[in-house]
Amino acid sequence: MEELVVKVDGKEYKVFVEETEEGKILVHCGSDVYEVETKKDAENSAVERLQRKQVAEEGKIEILAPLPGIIYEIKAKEGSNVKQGQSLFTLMAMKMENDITAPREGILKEIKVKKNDNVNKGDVLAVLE
Amino acid sequence: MGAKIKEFLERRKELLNDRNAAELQHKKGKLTARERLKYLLDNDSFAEINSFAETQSKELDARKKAGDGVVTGYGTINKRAVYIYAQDFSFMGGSMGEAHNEKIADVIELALKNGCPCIGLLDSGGARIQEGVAALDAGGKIFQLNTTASGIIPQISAILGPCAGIAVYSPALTDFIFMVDKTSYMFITGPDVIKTVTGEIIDFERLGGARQHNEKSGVAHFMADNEKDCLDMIKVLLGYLPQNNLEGPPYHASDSPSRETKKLEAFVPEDPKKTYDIKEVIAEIFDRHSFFEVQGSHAANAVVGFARLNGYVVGVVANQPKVLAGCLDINSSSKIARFVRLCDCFNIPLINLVDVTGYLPGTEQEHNGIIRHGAKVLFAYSEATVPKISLVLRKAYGGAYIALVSKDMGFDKVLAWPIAEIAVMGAEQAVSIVNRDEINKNPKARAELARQYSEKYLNPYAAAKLGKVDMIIEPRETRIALAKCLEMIISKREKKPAKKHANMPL
Repeated sequence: MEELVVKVDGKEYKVFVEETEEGKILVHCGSDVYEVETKKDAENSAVERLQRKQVAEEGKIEILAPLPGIIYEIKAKEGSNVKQGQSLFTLMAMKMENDITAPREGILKEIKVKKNDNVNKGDVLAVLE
Repeated sequence: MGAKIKEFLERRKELLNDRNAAELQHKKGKLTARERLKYLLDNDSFAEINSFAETQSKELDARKKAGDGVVTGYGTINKRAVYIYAQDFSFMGGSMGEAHNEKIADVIELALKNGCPCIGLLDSGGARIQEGVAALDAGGKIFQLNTTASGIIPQISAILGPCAGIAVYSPALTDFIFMVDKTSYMFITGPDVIKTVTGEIIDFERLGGARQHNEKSGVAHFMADNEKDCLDMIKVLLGYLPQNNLEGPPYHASDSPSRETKKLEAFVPEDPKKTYDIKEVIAEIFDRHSFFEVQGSHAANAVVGFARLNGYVVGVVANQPKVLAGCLDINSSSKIARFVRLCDCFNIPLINLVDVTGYLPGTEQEHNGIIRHGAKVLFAYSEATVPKISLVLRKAYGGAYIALVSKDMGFDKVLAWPIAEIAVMGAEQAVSIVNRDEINKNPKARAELARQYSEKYLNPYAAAKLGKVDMIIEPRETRIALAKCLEMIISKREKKPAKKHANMPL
């Protein structure tokens, strides 16, 4: 329950707003309870925007360099279909050939690095769609 | 039957009445406090204490209930004694009032006095607001006792609902935190408060869900798919822990110590640039199916967990070449240090499987304090007096060598495979520094110089000649050799000077 102070005709009232499990909004004022209708407020639409953004992220994933290093080998072609766990790059870092794999199935939309490129941690190596 | 006995029976019936709680909890796919206790403890072993404690708050007179929203007591798990408390979310959201907190404090104190593990099954939104400072202060008593008991008895917390405030800080002071996917949440301030204070909109799951705390924050140690799984995992964990710091962990003979580890040669590529999965190596070396990983999803470049070797419980710390080249970084350093200290508290010998080129270089790590966090590993190992064995599989360079292998820093037995490279640094880097002038004059000399350096230094023999490696063994002899080493030093006693406590880098 959320406590709010509302001003009606210049007078302040302390009310408690409750959202029931069925999604009804009840306003408790003193011993009275009112059911109210709400418009979709800014916050709700912000949540929706955020959810839409998440969906977009799910559709398109940037594959990032987990370590600073050198691109030693590019193992997949731009535009190709890749399977989850398929090896895409070999990143030479910490004196080792680190496998960079596809986090899920998809089309390798874009490869952003070339062989022997130096990359930093967090650099985008490829975009998966 | 006398009226007084009748009245008592009525009261007791009311106390054990779980119907309302069941209705509320089952809807959310959760068990009630009493159902959880029944599932976790041996049949009929539970003895409840303080069951009639209730809130003294006048304001809550109309709502008060015997027990005050938490069931506390004693029971056994696989015939070993434990003290336990389980919060009842159906009573005022499991909120922690004064009486509630006093009950929890009582049970921790009893566990401490009797040298038994203490288990908390948490399902609480935090301090009971209506009881004000009285509730907060009794929360302070819980923290004080958690801290006093730390290192004396194992303390285990299972987060079984949305927990905030006191209900997350107490678990944070204990040894292990379990969470259940999609039902448990932990945060200091919830989504509503965050929204009003900073305007950030975030949901429970992404703020403090089981995945966040098991993968990102490292707050939790284990994630279960559902509540029963979670309680089953607690039983498994207890099988690796002693009752208290004066005992050794339980021994179960389970696998032959003379079994050859023939697969290891195939698992670990000789070429030090190639990666592999260290967990296959662990599974092959230790008693079959005995490895129980701790914090498996967090800082996966280091693998830590319990296993058995010839029946003895050991703490395994290993580099994972498959993830981030197995490097030591801030997160993996903290993870290793915490695990090493836990093993040291509870007399669990440590076995390191080392294959690492070193600490991760870069400004991100340096500016976030890798010196401070990396030092925790040095501190934890130096301080630990349990038997410590280190096996170098392939690479052990520089600072990482000192941290995970160095005999002079306190490792009791150091073993190495013939393909081990124990040196200050790799060949390329070394010759660039040592032979700088020569290479500047004649760049073609680099390859030959690097080859010479490799031959001379990148092997286990240079260290063995100095007595820094005790045994060089074939991969297939690994299990046999480790079992012998462990037997050799399992009764080790080491005394450090008495002091109030050390000042560990944090």
